[in-house]
Amino acid sequence: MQTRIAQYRKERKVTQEELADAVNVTRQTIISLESGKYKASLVLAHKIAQFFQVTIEEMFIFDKEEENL
Amino acid sequence: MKFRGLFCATTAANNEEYRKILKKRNLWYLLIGAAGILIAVSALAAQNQGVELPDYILGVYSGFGTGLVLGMAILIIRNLMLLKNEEKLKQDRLKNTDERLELIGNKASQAAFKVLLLGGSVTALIGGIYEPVLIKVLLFELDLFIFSYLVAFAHYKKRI
Repeated sequence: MQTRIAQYRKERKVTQEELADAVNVTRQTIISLESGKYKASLVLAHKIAQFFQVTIEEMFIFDKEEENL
Repeated sequence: MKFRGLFCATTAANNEEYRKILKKRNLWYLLIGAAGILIAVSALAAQNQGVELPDYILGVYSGFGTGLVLGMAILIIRNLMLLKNEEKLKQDRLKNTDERLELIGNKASQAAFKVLLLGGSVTALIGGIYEPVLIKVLLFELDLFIFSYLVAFAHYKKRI
């Protein structure tokens, strides 16, 4: 799954460490999310979207084929 | 806040909650360590009472008991050190609450269980030719595993 985490993070000048601390995960998890290696749970997706004050759909790009949507 | 795992996963949202969890864990480690002492001492006491125990069994009991005590002592000391250092406490909390690490742990456990099942089955079938007790013990373990899985599956099916 692709995300816009890196894009929003750079726009708002937030480091991976700061975001990780804010949503209670390790920095490595943020790196994995940004690179698309790991899919966030609904709770984590919500926390990240809330942190940047955007909707989950704006932050996470669903691949309709991959997700059978 | 939930006390989910004796050794790792928690849902502590901040250092204060995690501190309480570590203190609870230390109590459990103390109990396990005490059980280790009991195991090691009971083997020696049984021998002193005239119970005939093979030397290797005595070694296994003493080693197992001592291993438990040492392992728990290390964990308790580690937790006490974490409790004194706010930054390290935070880093450890994040490692214990991180959902990605939890997923990795679950996948690693699944892989290890598969190896254990395969190893057990092969050992039972081949080792059983030379030592019949192996096939009885290992196949009983295998049955116990399958039975536990079915019970746990039914339990979680109702809950989730």
